[in-house]
Amino acid sequence: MPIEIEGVTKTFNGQRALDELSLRVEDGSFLTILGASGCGKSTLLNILAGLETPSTGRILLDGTPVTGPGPDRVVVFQKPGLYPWLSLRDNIAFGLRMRGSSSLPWREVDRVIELIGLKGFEKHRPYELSGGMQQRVAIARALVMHPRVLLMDEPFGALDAQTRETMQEFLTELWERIQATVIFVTHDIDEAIMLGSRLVVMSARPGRISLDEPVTLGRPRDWDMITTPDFLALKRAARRILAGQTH
Amino acid sequence: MLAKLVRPVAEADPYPHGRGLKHASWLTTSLVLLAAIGLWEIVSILQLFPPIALPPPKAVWRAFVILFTRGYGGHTIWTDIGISSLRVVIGFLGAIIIGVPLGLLMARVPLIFRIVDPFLQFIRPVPPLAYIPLLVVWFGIGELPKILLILVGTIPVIIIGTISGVKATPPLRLAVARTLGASERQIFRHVILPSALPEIFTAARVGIGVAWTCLVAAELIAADQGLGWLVQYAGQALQVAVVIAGIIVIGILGYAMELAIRLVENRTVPWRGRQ
Repeated sequence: MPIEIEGVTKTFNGQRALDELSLRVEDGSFLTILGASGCGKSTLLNILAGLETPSTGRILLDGTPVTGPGPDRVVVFQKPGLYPWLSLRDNIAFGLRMRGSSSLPWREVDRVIELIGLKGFEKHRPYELSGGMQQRVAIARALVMHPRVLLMDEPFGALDAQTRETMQEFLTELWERIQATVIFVTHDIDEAIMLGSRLVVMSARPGRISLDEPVTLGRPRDWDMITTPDFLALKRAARRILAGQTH
Repeated sequence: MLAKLVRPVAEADPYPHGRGLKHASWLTTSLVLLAAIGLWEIVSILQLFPPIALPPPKAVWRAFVILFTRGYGGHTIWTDIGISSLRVVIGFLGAIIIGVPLGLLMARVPLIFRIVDPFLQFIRPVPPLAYIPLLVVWFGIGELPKILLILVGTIPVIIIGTISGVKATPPLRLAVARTLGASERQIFRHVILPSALPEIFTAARVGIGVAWTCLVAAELIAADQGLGWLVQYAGQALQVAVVIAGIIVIGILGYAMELAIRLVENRTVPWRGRQ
């Protein structure tokens, strides 16, 4: 039950942001999409989410074309985008509430709160939490919907280095437990290799796939792996592509 | 030793600058007030202006005492305060009850915006005084035209504030709701409305001031009670001390109502300014 991107093109004001892009993402995989800013990687993610429509081509989820946003493909954005008028618990339950079920599965909500390590903060408002905590809430809010695909658009880009590392470890552990498909967009080479089981590198103007390689590092991942030959070889290849883009 | 004294304060207070400002502003306000009254006293002692134009603070204080005990024009100032506050509050609430839903509709439905906006832009720059003859011809000289005048004067502020609150909803909040499967209706109710609330409150705070501004105009319409009437009536009799006392009461009441709205605001939108 894969995600298929079939010949997706996106044109903005005559400029091609995405050029005939095709990709097949297997169920349960962790795909990282690496690219410089402006290469169209966020556009691709928005099209996958259904927030934008492709100019040509289509996205198939289990063979069914995607026509709009849906809770089976939840996005975690660069900024948490929590609702300040809701408590942490209500923020996480927001999607469930929108689904309109008469009784909310609070036990599931609390399980997810425990999963992200924020037990005891249920009643806190978002502005009372640190940036890293807020982003964990944003992830929890997505997870509680049991999405088939978790789409992540540079979710740790706005965090400081230490918090980012903690969050990367947290996400890796989480993915091993939930086994959902994750599509993770980033411009950070190390992050892309460290997290993904498969690395796609995009080049810009027009947005195309220039590299598509499995990440052969074992799991659990560890930051010491960044000196292994496999890591370095992949990093070198990715850097060559990104460097070719900046003149 | 000094560090020991300073550190606990710095740790206990996460917003030292904010607190400092607040404290200073109270002090500054009282000092400025005292200085103004002192200057006023000096100017009236020196008789730079004739006492009939600028009575000394003592005369205004006497006017206050008389207004609150014997009254002016056959009733005490409490009646004027009551009737004026009632007019302002009803006119203002009317502007909120009509203005907020209308603003929300205008922000969401382009057709309604195109229908209402020309009228809104038209009535906005017209001074409330100009409506008086029309309101009298249409609605007579009772309470209705007075309240309507306040309502018409206040409603543009409320509508414009509401529209701008809706438009200022961060796109990220909308995108989040969309990917979580919310319908357009749910997004409006659960995301746009709460996002617009802080600006609606700002509009209400500006609006209550405007409502009081319209009051004096409203009480030009055949009134024999009310603070606006009091100020005009005393003015015609050259009772400047009473005029000043009336102005001070209007100012205090306007400020008190603004504070009341701010209190509701702090309880309703505690997240304001803290994203």
